[in-house]
Amino acid sequence: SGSADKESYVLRVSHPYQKATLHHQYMVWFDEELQKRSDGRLSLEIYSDSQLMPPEQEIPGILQGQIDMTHSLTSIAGSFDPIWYFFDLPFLFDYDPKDPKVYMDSRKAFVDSEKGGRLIAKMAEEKGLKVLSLDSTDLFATLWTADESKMITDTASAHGLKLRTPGGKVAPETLKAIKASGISIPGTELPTALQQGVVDGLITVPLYLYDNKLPVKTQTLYPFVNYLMPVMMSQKKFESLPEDLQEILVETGKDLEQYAYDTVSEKIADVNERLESEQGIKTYYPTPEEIEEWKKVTEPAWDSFMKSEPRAKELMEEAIRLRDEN
Amino acid sequence: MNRIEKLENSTKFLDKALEVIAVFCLILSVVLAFVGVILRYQFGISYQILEEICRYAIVYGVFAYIGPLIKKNEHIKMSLLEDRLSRKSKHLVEFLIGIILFIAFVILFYAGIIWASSIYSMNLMTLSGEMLMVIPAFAIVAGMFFGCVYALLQMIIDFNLFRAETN
Amino acid sequence: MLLIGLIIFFILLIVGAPIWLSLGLSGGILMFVFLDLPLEAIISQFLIATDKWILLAIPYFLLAGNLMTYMGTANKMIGFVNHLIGHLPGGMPAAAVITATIFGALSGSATATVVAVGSMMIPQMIQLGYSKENSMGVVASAGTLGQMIPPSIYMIIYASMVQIDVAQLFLAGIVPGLVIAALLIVTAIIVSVKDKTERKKRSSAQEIFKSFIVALPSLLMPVIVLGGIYSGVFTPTEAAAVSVVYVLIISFLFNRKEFTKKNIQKSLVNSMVTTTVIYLLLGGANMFSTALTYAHVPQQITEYVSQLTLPGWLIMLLILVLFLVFGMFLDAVPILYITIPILYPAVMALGYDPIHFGILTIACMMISQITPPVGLSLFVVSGHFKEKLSVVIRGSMPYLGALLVATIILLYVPWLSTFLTK
Ligand code: NA
Ligand code: NA
Repeated sequence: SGSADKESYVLRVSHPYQKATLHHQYMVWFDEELQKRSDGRLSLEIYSDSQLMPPEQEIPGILQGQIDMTHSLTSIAGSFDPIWYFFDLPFLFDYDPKDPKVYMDSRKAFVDSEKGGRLIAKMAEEKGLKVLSLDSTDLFATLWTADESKMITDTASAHGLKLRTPGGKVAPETLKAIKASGISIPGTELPTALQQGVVDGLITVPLYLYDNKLPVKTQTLYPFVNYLMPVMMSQKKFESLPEDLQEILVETGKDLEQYAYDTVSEKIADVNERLESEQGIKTYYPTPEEIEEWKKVTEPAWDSFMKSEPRAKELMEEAIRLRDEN
Repeated sequence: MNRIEKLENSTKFLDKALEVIAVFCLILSVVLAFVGVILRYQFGISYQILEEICRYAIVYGVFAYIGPLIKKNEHIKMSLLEDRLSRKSKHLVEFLIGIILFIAFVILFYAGIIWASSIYSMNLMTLSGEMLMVIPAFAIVAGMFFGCVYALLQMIIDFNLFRAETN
Repeated sequence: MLLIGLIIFFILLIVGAPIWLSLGLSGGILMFVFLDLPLEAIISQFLIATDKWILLAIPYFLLAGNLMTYMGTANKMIGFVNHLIGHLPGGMPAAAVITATIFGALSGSATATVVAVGSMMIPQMIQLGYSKENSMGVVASAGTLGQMIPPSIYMIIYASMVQIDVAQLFLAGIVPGLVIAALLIVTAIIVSVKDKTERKKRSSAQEIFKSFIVALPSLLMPVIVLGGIYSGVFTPTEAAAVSVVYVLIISFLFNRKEFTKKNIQKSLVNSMVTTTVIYLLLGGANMFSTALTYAHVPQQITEYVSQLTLPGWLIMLLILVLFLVFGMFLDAVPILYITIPILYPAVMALGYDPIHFGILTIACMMISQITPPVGLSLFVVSGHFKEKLSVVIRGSMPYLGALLVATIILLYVPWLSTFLTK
């Protein structure tokens, strides 16, 4: 491939998702755009499905030179630098249960902000990672139950429920605040666990659940965890590229954010209707009072994150500023 | 043969210690996995860190046992050729494999040190966010170290066996 | 470049180097020398390969099986089946198959099954006049059933590699396991007609009942393990841990005499030996398969296979033949680790069900254990019962035929593998 022409560069990308996912589709789009814009001098070699390594090894893999780039996940990047767990905080961005666009826009505003997404990117640079894009493949993670009678409404309705959490340190704290418990179960064992009541429900994002058809009956729209997918490469590798290619990478990364925004906006618009008509899943839209109650009750999760990650202070202030602007 | 017996006996205490560690790790892992079921089923509690300890206990046990395994020569292998060789050439082949095994362990040990110190300096955590990744990684480095020791010993024993056949 | 890796692999394999070393060294050289990857990429494979929750079921199920074998729990079950049908024509070999089926439902390990069933049945069969060949052949072959009947270590490895729910695969294995058991029983009866045997005395109803009561705690184990998984009390890995505790409890209650420190120690050490062998192999094999992935081998094969104009079933048949050829020379775990990353995407591209392909793979892995020259089950019987390998091989030939027929049936009747899971 690239070895014949000294001017062309092939970057090795690893990510944990299957080829049919948006996550992979973004990387294919990124590759095509890079090739187009660089006249084929820059391209990606994409390894999906954790073929090369599990997701938690990707960032060390970049720094050690096994791969060049990853399309990671904030909750996994947290194992490298806990600041990424910031996005696991509940009620981080403004939202309206009835209108996903409100959330999409306020998340975007935070990512674009110098004191928000760009600040996190700067923190990553200090650790040798260049963040090219902070895109997303979904809305926020909502609450799901396998049993209709256990549908979550106010905080009291969540007491004592066993919910599968995606890991990390923050979500268990949030669950503790609503007196529910977080259970960690490998993804492959999850369908059986839900069917048989090992867990009462789970915390996950709607488009993912729609595609994977997990055996659940209800969804409740509280923004429990926020997922962003950083596209990262090693700062060293980045700087070793010719300047025009560096520029192309940065620009295309920014455009990937917009491409992701458009793609998710379109898919998310009627997902709750489709979940109900195709999979029989009822969605609960909380009232403004309930939302206020949840926000208040889950505040300890913010406090304890703040205690363990003082660097988060500025980010939190920015998130609150943007959230309360509206 | 006296010399060979001496060599084999030289690691008697280490053999025993490593076996005890391996068995202890297995017991610890099973017990914690069982406790995990009880905690979740009876009390609705689950700790990701508990699951990680179960996993890494086995990793520690396994890599502690590499040495004794080399001594027992219980690897899965193809024995097609060996069955057809004379005793002398058999010992020669085993000696040569021993050299390769030793070199491989030395390289793996060296690579392990680089790798472990790299993830240590990154401060990388496991997915629960509560354990340093270098803790499980260290099991592998230690395993490769004992691999070096036992492979070297085995190499010397095989060489002596070969020489004994030659004389 | 790839060729050099493969040559190194085969040379080391043939001279009798440990398989993990053959795989790891050729993979490591490919990665470090030809793909220009850092040393970290090589050593980290050992953690990447072994750091999986689902793989924990391997040491746990091994321990449960070993405890049952060494503490005499297994013998009680064998005694019951023997009392029940031992007196029928071909009854003893058939009883051996049935006990192996039941034991298979308790244990994930073929070695434990062969040792437990064989220790009790082989001497009795020979004493009653069944030929040595047949007595050992039937045990060696039926011992492989434990990999199709859940729980199964090969299924755990397969599921962890292709990321499917192992509980589903366990469930899917029940019917194929019973089909294979039935074929083995028929074969046993046909083969045994030739043997001039004394029939075992028919046991009285009282004897049968008594042996049933004694065996009941062990017979309940599959109910608890599988029942626990499918009623949602625990996941497959946890079920394995629970089964260890269960065996300890029933051995303590009903087998006090054999509940000794020595037997427990023996079970623990044996389980760690096998686990270490498997985990080392997983590390070496991961180095090999990751190197191939970096070199785009599986990707290219998938592309090639999906462009072939051959019908899917024919490609599938070729894949099974490939498994059988590999199975002659290699143990099941390295075969899985070498072939699945390459073949699985291709088979999926052909539109096969992951569970169906899993069952077919497991069937081939069963066969690999009794095909000469390298067959784990053959080795265990020959080694444990001090008999020439050729005798065991001759004896297992008819049963090998039965397993082949069973695999063809499973290939063309996918329904057998999937209807329980749908
Ligand atoms: Na089994
Ligand atoms: Na074989």
